Amino acid sequence: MQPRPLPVNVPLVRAVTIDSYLARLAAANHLSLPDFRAHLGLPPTRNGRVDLNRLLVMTGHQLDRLSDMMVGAGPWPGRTRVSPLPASRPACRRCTTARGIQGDVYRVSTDLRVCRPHRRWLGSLGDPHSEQYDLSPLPDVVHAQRRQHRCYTVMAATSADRRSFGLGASATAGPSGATGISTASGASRATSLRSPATPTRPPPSRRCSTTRRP
Amino acid sequence: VVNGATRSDARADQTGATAVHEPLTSKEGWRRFIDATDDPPPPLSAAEAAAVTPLEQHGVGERRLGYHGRLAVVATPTVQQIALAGRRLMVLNRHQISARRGLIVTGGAGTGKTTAITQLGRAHELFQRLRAPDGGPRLPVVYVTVPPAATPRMLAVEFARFLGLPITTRSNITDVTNAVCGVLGACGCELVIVDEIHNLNLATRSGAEVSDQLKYFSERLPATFVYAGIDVERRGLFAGPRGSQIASRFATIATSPFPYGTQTQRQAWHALLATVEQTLRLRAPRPGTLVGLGGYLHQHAAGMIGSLSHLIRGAAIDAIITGEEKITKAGLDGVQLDHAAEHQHGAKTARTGRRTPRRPAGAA
Repeated sequence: MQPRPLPVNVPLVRAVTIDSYLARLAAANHLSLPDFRAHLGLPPTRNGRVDLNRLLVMTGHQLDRLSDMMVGAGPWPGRTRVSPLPASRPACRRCTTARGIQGDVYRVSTDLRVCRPHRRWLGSLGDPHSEQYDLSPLPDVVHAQRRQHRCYTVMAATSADRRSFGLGASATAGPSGATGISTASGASRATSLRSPATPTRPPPSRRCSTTRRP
Repeated sequence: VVNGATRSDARADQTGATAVHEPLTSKEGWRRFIDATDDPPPPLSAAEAAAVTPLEQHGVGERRLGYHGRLAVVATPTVQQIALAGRRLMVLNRHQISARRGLIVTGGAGTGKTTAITQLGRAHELFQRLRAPDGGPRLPVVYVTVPPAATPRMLAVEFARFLGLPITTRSNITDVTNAVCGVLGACGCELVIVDEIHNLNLATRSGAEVSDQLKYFSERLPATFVYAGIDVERRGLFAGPRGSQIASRFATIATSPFPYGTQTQRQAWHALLATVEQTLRLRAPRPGTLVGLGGYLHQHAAGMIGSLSHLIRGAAIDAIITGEEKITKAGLDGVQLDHAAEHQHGAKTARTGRRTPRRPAGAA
């Protein structure tokens, strides 16, 4: 069956995982997720390869924009299919609600645990039901996150391998019209620097400063 | 470079995939129908026409052929009546929580049913666009046809196909119906147009089930339903308990061939022809030709608006191709019409023994 544009599209969030995006797309169109995944050539389980051409037709996005916003959406050179990335953390629910997004959005941001504008703990990696706690009584945690981000920025500027820090291969920012969640969430500013269409892997879970858990 | 080429190829494929034929019963085709403008190509004077190169001349000719191939829709009294009734029902139904009223357009083939209901849908969608220019995904109008030998699932899939929802063979009717109703509710659907309703035969079990499915849709969706079909009363749409429920909720508007008996009816026909003539863009027109041939055109097209449109468009295209650039009776004679109109025209000619009726008094 030839793919056709879906009636309802959902906004793209920077660094969103393919699994999260597909789940939101299916929910917005009142489709069962296994059926929707089957339509994209994906098995009902998490492991599989997305037929990106079908997804581009169904969402109306351009390949560059999709791969810029979505981690793992950009195919490796010479390939047209990509594998979804499993490691994800819920985006700040206050940021997504402010953008009119219903339901959780999962992003690849292994080292970004705090939403700085809203001062909230984002939850544990890979735990879809984790609570997002208020960090107002624990300013040290927010401060630590800020220091970590600053540290990453400095290290990335001096490092040849920017991809290791989730900052992309070059210093150029994404398209100015990108409406990533990064505009609302300072905690994700590091990922907002990712260059378009750069095949990226999730940054390694390294720390440059101590981060206290609440 | 290789990767770039692959991507551009993929994009070209993608463009090609969306450029394929999109029927009116899909949201893309419907949107194209809504967005289509009927602006006529600019008229060229003889001097301007002589100045353009043969290639440009060909291009202009092609544009004019395309324009005359689709000509603007004329607001006949039936189109106006259906537009008013539909608009009135939508306002009345807006605050109803159930038992919404609907409209059935019935009549013979070629009497302009589909044109009238699609114009109603187009007017409503354009109105909604003006009211909420950027209010998220909007699908105020849905246009589907009842497939032949339809089953409830086939009807639900028709709705899903209009929306572009991916339906697999694994999806059952409940999944499809829920997805359709959910999406249409989220997209603010207010008007559902179901054409070819005569394919629904309440005497058969599947026909009755399709009727129930339509009823279920009308309960789930906060929309006004408009049905159109050929002579639905005679085909038993109002028979039996299901039929009586339809009859109690739906008003009926009958479309019929244009009458040509009284002086008033002739004046209405001539006014219609005058309006059609104004939309033509031929280079050497003789004003008043169509009105002058009013009686002949009515007899030739058997009063059917569809046949009349085909006749005039065909003659206009012939006039452009042959370079005659005007509509003549000989040109109209050369256009082959549908069997029904030809048959009726032949019968009338044989009965009166005259090929054309006398021109009415006062006609040019």
